[in-house]
Amino acid sequence: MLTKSDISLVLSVIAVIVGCYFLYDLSRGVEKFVVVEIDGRIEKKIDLPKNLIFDVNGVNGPIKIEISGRKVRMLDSSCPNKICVKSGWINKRGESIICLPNRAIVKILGEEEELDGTTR
Amino acid sequence: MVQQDKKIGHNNSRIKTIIEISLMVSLGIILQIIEAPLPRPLPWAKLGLANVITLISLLLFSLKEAVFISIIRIALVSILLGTIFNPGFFLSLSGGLMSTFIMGLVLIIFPKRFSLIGVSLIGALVHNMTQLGVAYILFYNQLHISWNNVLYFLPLMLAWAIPTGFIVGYLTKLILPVILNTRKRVNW
Repeated sequence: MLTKSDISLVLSVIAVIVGCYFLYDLSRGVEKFVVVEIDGRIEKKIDLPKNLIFDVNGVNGPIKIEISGRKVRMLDSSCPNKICVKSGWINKRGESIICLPNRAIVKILGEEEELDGTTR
Repeated sequence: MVQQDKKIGHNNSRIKTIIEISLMVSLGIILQIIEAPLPRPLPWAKLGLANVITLISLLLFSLKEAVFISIIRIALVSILLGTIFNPGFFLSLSGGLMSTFIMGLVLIIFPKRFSLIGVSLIGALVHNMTQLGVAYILFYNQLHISWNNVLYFLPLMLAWAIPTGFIVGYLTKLILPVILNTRKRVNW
């Protein structure tokens, strides 16, 4: 039914699939900095890795943001539902935490990406 | 008298081929239209049932007729579904043509090396790769697609080609004897 060439074809395709995932992981690059945007303005830009806790003023009130190594989270926020706090840590390039009542976006960007790269 | 008979015989075989080709085209159209409203896991992840017909026509006729059948099938289905000349049509056309061509070449160059399932697997792979390439060329200006996105899609599309290639190859194996028998029984 299946010949030897069929099986080697399937195996080589699977090998290419696995290789692609590794390449994709490599091509994403290293997480370089954290950007905090309030109401569309860039409030803070912090290089990674770093360990610190700082406050930003959102539209609704203060937000506490924690950076630990290459991870970022919202430690506390002055919004009613705390969705941004519950979303926990982010640590990959392109990920973001958004707090709507405060109109705040915290995102991780890579090196070659322009600041407005994800909002073009 | 003898010459006239010969002439009629010649015409008969031409008519026979034309009828068989048009039957293949209509079978392909039916399969593709049946498949169009079926639910899909992802918008681009189709089964490609019409590839069964492409594969059978490669086995029954030559490469030229099979390419012809794919072109006519894709054009007619696009007219029937109203998708002609939109980006999806060009993706479908390029993928269909390329996979037909490569499957035909594989059948000519390595007639014994791959089973039907293997050939249809190659067809599915070539189909998806061509579509990805054409989509990249068509859209990278408008959507700012980077190599990163292509690299993200490539394994997904390759992975999807494996089950679809298997299913299409298996169906072809089931259907081919039926068509050969019918062809023999009609005996025109």
